[in-house]
Amino acid sequence: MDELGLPDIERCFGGAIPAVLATASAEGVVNVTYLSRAHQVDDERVAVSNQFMSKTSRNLADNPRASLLLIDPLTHDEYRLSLVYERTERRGPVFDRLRADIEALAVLENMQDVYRLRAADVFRVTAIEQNPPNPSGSLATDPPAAHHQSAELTGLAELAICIGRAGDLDMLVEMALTALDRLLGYRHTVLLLLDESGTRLYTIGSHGFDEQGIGAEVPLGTGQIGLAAERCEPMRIGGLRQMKKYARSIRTSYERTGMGPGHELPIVEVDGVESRIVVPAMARGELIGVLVAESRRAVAFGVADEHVLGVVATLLAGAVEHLRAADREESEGLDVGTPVESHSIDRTDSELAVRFFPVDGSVFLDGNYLIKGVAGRILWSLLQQYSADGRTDFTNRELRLDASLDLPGFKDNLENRLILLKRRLDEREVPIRLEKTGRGRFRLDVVALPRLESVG
Amino acid sequence: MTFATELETILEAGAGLVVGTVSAEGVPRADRAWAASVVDAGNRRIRFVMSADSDAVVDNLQSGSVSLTGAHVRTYQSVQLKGRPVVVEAPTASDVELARLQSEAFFTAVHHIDGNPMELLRRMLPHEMVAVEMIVEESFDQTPGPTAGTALTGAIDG
Repeated sequence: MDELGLPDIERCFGGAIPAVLATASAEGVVNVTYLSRAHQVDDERVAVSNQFMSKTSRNLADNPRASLLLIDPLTHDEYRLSLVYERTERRGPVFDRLRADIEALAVLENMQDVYRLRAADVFRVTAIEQNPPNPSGSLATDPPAAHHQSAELTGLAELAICIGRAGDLDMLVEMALTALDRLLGYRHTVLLLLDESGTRLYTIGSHGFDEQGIGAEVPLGTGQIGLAAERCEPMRIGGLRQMKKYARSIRTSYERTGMGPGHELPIVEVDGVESRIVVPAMARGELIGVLVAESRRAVAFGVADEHVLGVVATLLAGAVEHLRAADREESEGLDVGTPVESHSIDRTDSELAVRFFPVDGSVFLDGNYLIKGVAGRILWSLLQQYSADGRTDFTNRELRLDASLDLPGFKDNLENRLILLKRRLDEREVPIRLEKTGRGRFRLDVVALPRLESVG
Repeated sequence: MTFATELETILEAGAGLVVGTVSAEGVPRADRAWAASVVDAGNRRIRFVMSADSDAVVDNLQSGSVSLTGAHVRTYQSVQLKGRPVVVEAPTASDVELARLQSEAFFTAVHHIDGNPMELLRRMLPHEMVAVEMIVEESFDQTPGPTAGTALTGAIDG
C-alpha cells in the first residue's frame, strides 16, 4: 500500500456518502454499482455488503480485481481504492457488523423483514489514490475532529463522579444527561429503560430537545434504538438523510417488484437529525436500557463515541440497578401499617377531569393523554385514594402490595415507574405533582378537584 | 414518455455520473463524469466528459469496454449503459461548457437535497477532462434494490 492507509480515511466509512464499486468480467466488461457504505475490516481490508450484486459476484468469481470510490463527507476529498477480492463471509464478526448496518438501513423504511444481508465480501486493499482536489472549491473551515481527544477522559471522570453522587433515579437521570452535554459535548441525549416485561423501552429522560418525550416507548427490535437494545450492541448511523434516501430507493424498488416490505410501523423521528448513536446500558449481563445521542452533523459519531458513551451507559446501568435494589430493601423495611402523615391540601375550585382506561392503564387529564401502563395505574390508584379520604402520603411498599397495579412479582422497577410518572407530570405542567419525602415515601400534591372516570 | 426520453432526462439533467473502465490487464476502474448527452439515439451513440487526472483513464479507454452510470440525485434511480468507446479526444469548448452546466446542476441538486456545501462539492471537479463517445450495446436498471442489474430494452430508440 502507498503512503495513505485505511486509518487515514476512516471518515469515508461512515456511510454519509454512498460508495461506488467497479468490477469487470473475465471478458473485460466493466460493471458499476452503488453501495450504501463500505466497511473497514482492518488496516489492510475492507468489506462490502452483498445484497443485490449478482453481477458483481459473478465478476469477482472470474476476476478478483475491483475499484472502490469513496468520499470524505467533511472535506469531499475523493479516494480510489484498488482492491483484490479475498473471500465471502456468511457468519462471524465481519458479517455481523455489516448485518447490523443493513438492518439499520432497513429499519429506516421498515424493510427489516425483506431487506437482509446475504453475504459480506472482503477485499484486500492494494493501493489508495487520492483524486487531487480542484482549487475551484474550498474548505471553508477545518473539519471538526471526529475523535475525542484524551482530554475527554477528564470529562468522563467528572461525569462518573456525578453519577456516583446521585441519590435517586430522578437525580441520576438529570445529572447524567446534563453532564453529558456540559462535560462531553453530547447536546441531544435520551435515556430509555427496559420495562418489566422486557419487551419495550420507555423514555425516562432526555436532554437538548424541545419536548422531553417522557414515557415515549420503543418496542425491542423496532427501529435503530430497538434493534441496538435487542442485540445489546452499539449502533451508529451517520448521514441519516442520505441513508433514508437510499433506503427509500430500495423500498420503491421492492414495491415495483410487488414484494411488500411488511406492515407499516411508526419509526423514530429523525427530523433534522443527521447522526444517531445508540449504546446499550448493561449490568450483570442484562440489558437495563439504552443511551442515545443525536447530532445534526453528518458524521458526528465514531468508534471513540461508542467507547465514551459505552462507559457512561455502563455506569448508568450499574447505578440504576443499585438504586432499584436499595429502593426494594428500604421499602421492605417499612411496615405497611405504618401510619403516614396526613398532609394539608390546598384545594382549589378548578376541576380536573381524569379519565382512566383499565385496558392499558392510560390516563387522560382534561382530555389530554398523560401516561399509560404501570405508571398510569399508579396515578389512578393514588388519585382514587386521594379522592376517597384526602390521603396524600404514600409508601412504595404499599404500592407493591396493590394488586390493581398488576406489578410483576420480580423486578417490578416500581421506583423507575414512579420517577417516570413524576417527570411526566412535571413535563406536562399539570396540577398534580409527585414529591419524594424520604426513602420509600412520596407525596401526591393535587391543586385541583379531580373528577375521576374509569372507562371500560 | 419513452424510455429514450427518460434516459435523456437522467443523463442530461444533473445526474451523478460514474464511468467504469477496464485496463488491458483486466483491472477495473471507477471515475466520475461531468456531462453526458445523447448524440444519436438511432445509433445508440452517447457522448460524455469525464475526469482524466490520471493517464490510466485514457489507457483504459483503449481497451474497448466502458460503462456510464447515471443516478438521479433525489431518488437514486439509476441507469447503466455499457458499450465500447468510439471516440476519445480532448474536450471541445462546448464539452467544457456542458460539463460546467451539468456539474453545477448536479452540485445544486446535491446541495438542495442533501445539504452539502457547494464549495466542498466543487473540490470533486477534475483538473483534466477527456471527451468520450460510446456506442451503447446494453443498458441496465442500476437503481439500488432487487431490480438492480435488470436489462432494459429499447433504451435509446424506446
